[in-house]
Amino acid sequence: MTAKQFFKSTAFKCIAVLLSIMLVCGVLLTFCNALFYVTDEERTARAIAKVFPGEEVTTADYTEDALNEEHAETVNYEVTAAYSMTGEREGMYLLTVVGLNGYQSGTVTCWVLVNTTLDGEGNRQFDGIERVVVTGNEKQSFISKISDSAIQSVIDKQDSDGFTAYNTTGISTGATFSLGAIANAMNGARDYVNRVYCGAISDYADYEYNDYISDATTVTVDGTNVNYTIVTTSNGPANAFTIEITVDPDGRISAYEIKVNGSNGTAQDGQAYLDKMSAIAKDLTGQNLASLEAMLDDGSLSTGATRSNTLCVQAALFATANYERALEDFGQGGAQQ
Amino acid sequence: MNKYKKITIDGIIFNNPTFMLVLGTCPTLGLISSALPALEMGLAVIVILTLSNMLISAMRKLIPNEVRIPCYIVIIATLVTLIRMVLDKFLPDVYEALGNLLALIVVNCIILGRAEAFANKHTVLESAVDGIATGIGFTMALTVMGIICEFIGTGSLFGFKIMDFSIGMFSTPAGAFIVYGLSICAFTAIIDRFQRAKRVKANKLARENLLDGENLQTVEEGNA
Repeated sequence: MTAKQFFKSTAFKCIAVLLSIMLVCGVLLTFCNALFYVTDEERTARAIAKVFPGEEVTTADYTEDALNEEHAETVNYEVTAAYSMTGEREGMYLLTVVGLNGYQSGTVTCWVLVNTTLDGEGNRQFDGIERVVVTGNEKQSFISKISDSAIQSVIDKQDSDGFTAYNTTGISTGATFSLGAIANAMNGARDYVNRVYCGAISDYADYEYNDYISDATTVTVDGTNVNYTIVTTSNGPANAFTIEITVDPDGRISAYEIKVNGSNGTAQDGQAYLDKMSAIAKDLTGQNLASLEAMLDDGSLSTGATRSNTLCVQAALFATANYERALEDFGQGGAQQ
Repeated sequence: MNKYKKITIDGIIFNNPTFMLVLGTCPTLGLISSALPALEMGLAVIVILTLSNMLISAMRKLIPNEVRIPCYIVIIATLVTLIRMVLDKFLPDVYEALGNLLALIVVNCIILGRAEAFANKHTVLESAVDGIATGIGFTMALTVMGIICEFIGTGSLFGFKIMDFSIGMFSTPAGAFIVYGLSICAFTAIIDRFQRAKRVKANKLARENLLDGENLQTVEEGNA
């Protein structure tokens, strides 16, 4: 085929037409992209407008803070952005938090407005959540069932363990797992503000296996035994457990008693979940770090009340893994005595 | 019948893309759990379908037959991207509500189907009318099913609470699938009954004409 024949052929016409169309479309899209580009500032302003409906909020009313990576992520939430409000809203913090462990292990992204106050000594303290706006989700098929009033009910029912969508009377949405992820986001906002802006550093921040351990946990040392009163976080539908654990010098659990069972109060299936908990999770006496770590992998926690079992084993892991450190921190002459 | 009227009625009723041709099932099942996103998706499809039909019709003599499908895809993808940009800029709530299903319009069978079946054989004006009519047919179908699913699934209409009773399954694609199936049954039954009545009327008219013809022939034979 000669060059002249090629340029007259259908193949050349096809290539020329297709490339021409692509070129024109590409140029058009480039122009439109420049014309319709939405900046990050604009996106933030839109989200903030949802948090403050009917109020005028400009970029002068808030500053974006660098994220503290150390406190931004746990097994229940992930803080992705933090803003400090200024002017008449000073003391308020706006956080973008992804609540984890929703329906089908999906997530809910929320903007959470947290209020803080100053105490008599000028220290900043968490004073509650003002508003929560849901801006996105993954796999939450029923999230449309969650009304603003349901979210407000979760905010109003805050207790010492934080916010929970489970085991709370008066909140019935038909999307409890999604609401649970929103509660996780609220807890995330509260913890982040407490630790980063209010300076409330957890006693157990450097301890191992502290993912499910609440700051309400206490430790005492009795000779060479370490006594823990462990308060766990919630874990999906399983509420916080309070477990008393004693670890002996061999690193073995010598006493184990569940004082508050988080499975016990689940609104409808409470007793059923309690029955489904593995017998070994109810009494981990005699276990040590190695045997507990093995439990995480051998499938023995999957009994139909897996989340409750997980909390029990995580509490025991925390107790056994940190024996030496707790002895040092809380024993005679320890730094925290 | 005026050809534009016929194109319009075909697009909305007799060739309804959702109920009669069962095209565009993916966004249908994904969005009819509530009425508002269904309506919004329908409106986006009307705009894209009309523009793509017009462009493809205008370029039908330029595009070689061998590369027509890639050319259609490039044109449709450009239009969809353009609409996404415009929605993201000016109607962010609509953009968020439609999510990834908006991008999936690129491979929506309705748009490619109308480009292939209609736009590349007809004039720009006819193609525009077909795009609008087919889009309206799609929008109506989606909105009606969205209203049913939202009402049963959440007890509300367009986000406004109507009743406390609801069956959650109808807020999911599984419930949407059931409503979709039943809607096809109902729509097909109505169209079938209408067409049957039309056929009966036509047959009756033809028989009367035939009888009149026979009577006339008998009279003429008598006269002869």
